[in-house]
Amino acid sequence: MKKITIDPITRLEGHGRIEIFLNDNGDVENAYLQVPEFRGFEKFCVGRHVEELPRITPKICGVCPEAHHLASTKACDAVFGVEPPEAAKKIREMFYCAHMIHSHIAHFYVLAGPDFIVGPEAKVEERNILGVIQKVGLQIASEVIKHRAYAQEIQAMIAGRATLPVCGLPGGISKPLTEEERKQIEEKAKSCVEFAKFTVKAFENVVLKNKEYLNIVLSKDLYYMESYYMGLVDKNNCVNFYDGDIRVVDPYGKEVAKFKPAEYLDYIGEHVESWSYLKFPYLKKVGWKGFVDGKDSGIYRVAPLARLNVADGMATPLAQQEYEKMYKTFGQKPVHHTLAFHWARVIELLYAAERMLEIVQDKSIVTENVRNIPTKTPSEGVGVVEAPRGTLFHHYKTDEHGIVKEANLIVATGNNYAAMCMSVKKAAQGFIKKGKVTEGLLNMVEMAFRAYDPCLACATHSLPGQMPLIVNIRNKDGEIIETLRRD
Amino acid sequence: MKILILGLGNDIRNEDAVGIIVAKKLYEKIKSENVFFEECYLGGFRIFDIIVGYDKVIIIDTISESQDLKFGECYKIYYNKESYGFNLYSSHNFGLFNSIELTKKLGFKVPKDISIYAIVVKKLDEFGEKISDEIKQRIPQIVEEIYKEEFENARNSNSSGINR
Repeated sequence: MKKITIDPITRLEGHGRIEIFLNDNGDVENAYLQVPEFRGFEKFCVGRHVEELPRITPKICGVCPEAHHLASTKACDAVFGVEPPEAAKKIREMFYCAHMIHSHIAHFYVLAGPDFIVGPEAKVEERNILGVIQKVGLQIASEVIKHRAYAQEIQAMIAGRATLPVCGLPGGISKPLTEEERKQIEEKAKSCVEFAKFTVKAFENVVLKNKEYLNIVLSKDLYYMESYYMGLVDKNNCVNFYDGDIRVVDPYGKEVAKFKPAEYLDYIGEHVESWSYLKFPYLKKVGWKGFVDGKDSGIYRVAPLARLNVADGMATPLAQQEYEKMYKTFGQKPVHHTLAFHWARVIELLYAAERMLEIVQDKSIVTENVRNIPTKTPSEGVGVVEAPRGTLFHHYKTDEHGIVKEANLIVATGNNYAAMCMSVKKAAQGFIKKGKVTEGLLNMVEMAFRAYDPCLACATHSLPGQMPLIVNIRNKDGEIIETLRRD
Repeated sequence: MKILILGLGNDIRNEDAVGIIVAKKLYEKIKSENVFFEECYLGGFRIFDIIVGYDKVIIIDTISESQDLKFGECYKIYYNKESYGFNLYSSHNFGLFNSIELTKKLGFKVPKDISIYAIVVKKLDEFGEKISDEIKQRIPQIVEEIYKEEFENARNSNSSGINR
């Protein structure tokens, strides 16, 4: 048996790469973010039976398989023209709230926490979960793990297994919920609400009451972008993760579009750049104007802050209070401050927990009637959910036997790709002046990334679990003058 | 002793499925009430959700071919603690080493022995279900190699894939 010691980069197919181009004065002219991306998934779906896709598409990604499962299941509902029974819709939504809780807890404490709890200036080797524990203590860390586990157990109870779920079928779900399971979920949901309340409070104490951190969040220099926003809303224009219409607001908060998932191609275009496999979605009716913000540029943002920006409020009482507090603090809506994504995320955590409890206390979900068998000839359908990282679209076309002829996916992180590139450029502009690179560039770029909670498939399958990065800084002639790397 | 054989990979990304196939065959070869099999396509912390509670874990993964890594070979992997003790570049995961340390601090049962194997395959950047004939032929040998390393040679050593 051969034995080797390797660095994480060996496992991955490549680095995330940032190319920064300077002008004659040595200031930043352009910056491009490139990520390794796996290809050919849509092609892989073609020729398969559409009913297989809710079990196949979650394998695109090791981070949010649950979001793909539900978007795919909803697309199958539409392909077969079948409406699930009310109980099935509620159970799907409850499952999805558990996924949001699981994901948002991990992001806030494990990924974003180090920036704010350990501190943005702390050494990189301390800015991790172990550093967070050092600051907050073991008891809170245990609560983090416990509630993440609760969310995982609820998903497993409903979906057959915690990851790579198998519960969604066209027209409903595969098994009803028992009263015993309902009671177990109710207890866990109550605990999740308490923990979410604690988390919102912790954000307030650690970030909002710390003037230095609050100034970073409120800063209009590095982490600020006046873009459009997109997200799902319910019939009252409140945030909803599972269902509803897609609403778009402009940089001034005015509704400019509200459409059904099936109409997405009328509203969303995808711009292609030669330097990236990932496409850049934009608002068709505004147009692609390059990597610029403002009302004339079709670049939009998705994910927690965008969802709150497009909504008129939250559908649960405690989350609504926190929503009002956030907008009062900023004194404007929409909020354009990128680091406010973290704040919006903890408000969403509270909403997800409250909504999960609300659904599980509705005893009508304990019924055998959880599926309507499809009877129509399959044809075409679109399914949309809000993944933790933004709006996720699945669109399938089939023949009359249900064999997939075309598939199109717009993944959550993809929606924010243009905005992430712009955030990288801003960070670069802040830290490179007249050809001189100020220490801290990498950290500032990292912070911009993390706000969006990007899910780049490349990073999900490595044991180390991190995306290494190379930053090349090039002069006006394109020659590399400095390389920074994080392996 | 409770043992987990964990196949890591994505069975719809061509040869990335090989880790899962080998893990399953190794499990079938051993088949004992104390030995368990899992497969997953996850990173860092989510892997740890799976391996907590076991005494020994054998992780079988794939790795891309390179100048130093010969196609079709199976390597026992040693990660340096330093090389993945930090993180936070990642989109959503965090490192296995951090996961282990965190879980130990919280008082969960951490496997004392974690071995990591990687089988060298072709480039992993496309979706599909193709496994080359070369790799298919190698699978039974690789199963034997890992079996020997873990259950025969291991009696003479106490090696672990994690340098702790």
